[in-house]
Amino acid sequence: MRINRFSLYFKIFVGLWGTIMIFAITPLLMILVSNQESRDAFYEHAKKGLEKNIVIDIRAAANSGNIPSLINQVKRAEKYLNSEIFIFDKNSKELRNKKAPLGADNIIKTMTEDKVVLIKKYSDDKNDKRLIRVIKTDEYVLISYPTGDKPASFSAIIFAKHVNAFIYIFFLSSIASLIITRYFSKPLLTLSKAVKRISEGDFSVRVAEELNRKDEIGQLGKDFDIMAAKLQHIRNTKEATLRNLSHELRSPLTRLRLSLELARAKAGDNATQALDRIELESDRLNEMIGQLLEISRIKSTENLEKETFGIKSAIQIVLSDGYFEANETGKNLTYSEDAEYFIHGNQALLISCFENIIRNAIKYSSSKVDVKVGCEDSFIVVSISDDGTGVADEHLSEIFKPFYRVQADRDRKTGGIGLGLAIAKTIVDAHNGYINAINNQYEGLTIEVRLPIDSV
Amino acid sequence: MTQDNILLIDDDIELCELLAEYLATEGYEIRAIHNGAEGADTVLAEDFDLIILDVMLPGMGGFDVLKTIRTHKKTPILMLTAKGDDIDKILGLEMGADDYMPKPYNPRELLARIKAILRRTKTKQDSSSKPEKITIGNFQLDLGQLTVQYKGNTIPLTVVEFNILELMVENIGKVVTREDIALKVLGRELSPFDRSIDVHVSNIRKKSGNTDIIKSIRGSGYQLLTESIK
Repeated sequence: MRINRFSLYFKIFVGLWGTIMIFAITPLLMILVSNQESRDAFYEHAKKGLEKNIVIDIRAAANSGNIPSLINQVKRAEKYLNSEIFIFDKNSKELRNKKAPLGADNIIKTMTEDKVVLIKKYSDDKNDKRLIRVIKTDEYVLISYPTGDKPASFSAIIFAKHVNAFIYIFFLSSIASLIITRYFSKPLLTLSKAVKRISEGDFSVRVAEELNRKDEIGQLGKDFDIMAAKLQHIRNTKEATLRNLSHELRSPLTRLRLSLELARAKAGDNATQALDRIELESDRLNEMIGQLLEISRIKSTENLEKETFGIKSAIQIVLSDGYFEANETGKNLTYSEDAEYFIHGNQALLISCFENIIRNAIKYSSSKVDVKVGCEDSFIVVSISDDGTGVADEHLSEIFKPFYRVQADRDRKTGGIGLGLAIAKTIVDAHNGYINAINNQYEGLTIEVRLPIDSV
Repeated sequence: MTQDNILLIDDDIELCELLAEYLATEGYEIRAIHNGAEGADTVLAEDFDLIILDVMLPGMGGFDVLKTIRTHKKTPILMLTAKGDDIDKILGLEMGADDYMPKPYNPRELLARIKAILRRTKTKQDSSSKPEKITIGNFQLDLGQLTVQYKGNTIPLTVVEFNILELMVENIGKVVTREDIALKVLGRELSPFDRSIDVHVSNIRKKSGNTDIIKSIRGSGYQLLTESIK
């Protein structure tokens, strides 16, 4: 997962983890700010504890026969406990070849167990008496002589004593924070994804089962599902109403067409113009109903019948009609491609999609329309540009909505009914593609269709 | 020449009245029936030159009516389908409908289709100039009865299927394009993705029991070869 420092996941994690860490070091901080006496006591206590730990570690290393580890532990002891330590093996040989101090031989021979003894004569100075510690294991005898050096600093001791604890707290708190963060942010991510799908118009999404919780988040999930179900119902009802309405409108329309033909037969020439107009309008009405039904049919089809085909062949079919239409209106239609791409989809629908866009472009162009096929990432990009007046930037996303008209008066003249691009979008959506409108740099509009390339 | 007799099976009573009036002005005699089962019974009891059948009928559905009619009679059937319902079209044609018309239709277009189907049937039955029977390879076409015999067995072709086969026989050895077939037999232009002709040809192949008799020429049309019908 990519880390975004503004993400909730990150915030909860850092917050929790920081809190745990602060709690962990609070006692230490409290001692640091308290009086000298308690600091000293704490120091002594830490030192004793450290000493005990080191002795345990040394003994463990000695027993395991791991010499490098043993020497490491001894060095640690020398550093923190201001001592000089000698390690003798069974042959009374010093492990680091240090010169044995006076009386060491005697100690090795006589000591049978761990002890702390006062050595009266440590060096040539007769008054040099020291308390030494002897550690005896099966293989080694260790003798620790205190040196006269300055004892290790307060912080060094505290650190050495507690470093392990800090490492444990560090890891445990990280793991605990991760778990708790996931617990809170995972349902939020689930919900956020679901809300996104709703906003994209997919009302079939449900979350309660995935969340699987009995707490407030679970309740939120249940409420979310109820909301989604209601939205879905509303949309289905709306679409069913539209579908039924369109369907029902066809019967009177058919009757209207028949009556019109009868009227033609009975009326004289004077009525021809008016009757032609009635015919034109009823054709428009018919086309509109047909397109509305087409949109609702594509939207309500769960699984489109799909096949793999070349995009070029599909566009060629549209172009052959397009050339004819462009020629008739004195416009120029050009086509270019860089290669043939294959797509898995419903050929008839995609042809209808390109037909709608290309006819629209021809209608609005002033002299030429350019159709280009290319590829970007894993998408086929079909762009259709005209050299018309374009669309105001704020309306660009609106032109794919049913019945949206940019220029009402111009549209009427060209006979559009504002559903062509809505159909195109519906078809592109059904193929998991994208459709966009972009104003050209100088003049005109480009409609760009992106469809996933068939990877097979 | 007697008036052509058309049966209209459609549940829209008002529409039937208007259509009857319209077709009457063109010289057709219309009977309208508003229910599937009754329609099927009427077809079996009487003879019609053409049947216009709406696939969306209450009670006995259009497809069932189609099936019932086809098991007994080969009267040309023009099917009315909902626009955009491609499966309905293909299914209807496979079950023996001669052509389809999406609803709502342009009455003049409907008339053109009726005329196209009836013209080919009528000219053959009325004309005396053409030979009554054509024999070519193992095919024997009876132009009066609109029946075909292949290797001595009668193939139960519908009128449109018969007309397509006749066109192929007339142009034996040549490639006949789909567009040509549509224009000459159905009296209309073929729109892109219109599978009508392919369905009819596939029906002819199936019914003759020999799928090789008509060769598909990819991207263009069909070809009947002399050697393939021996």
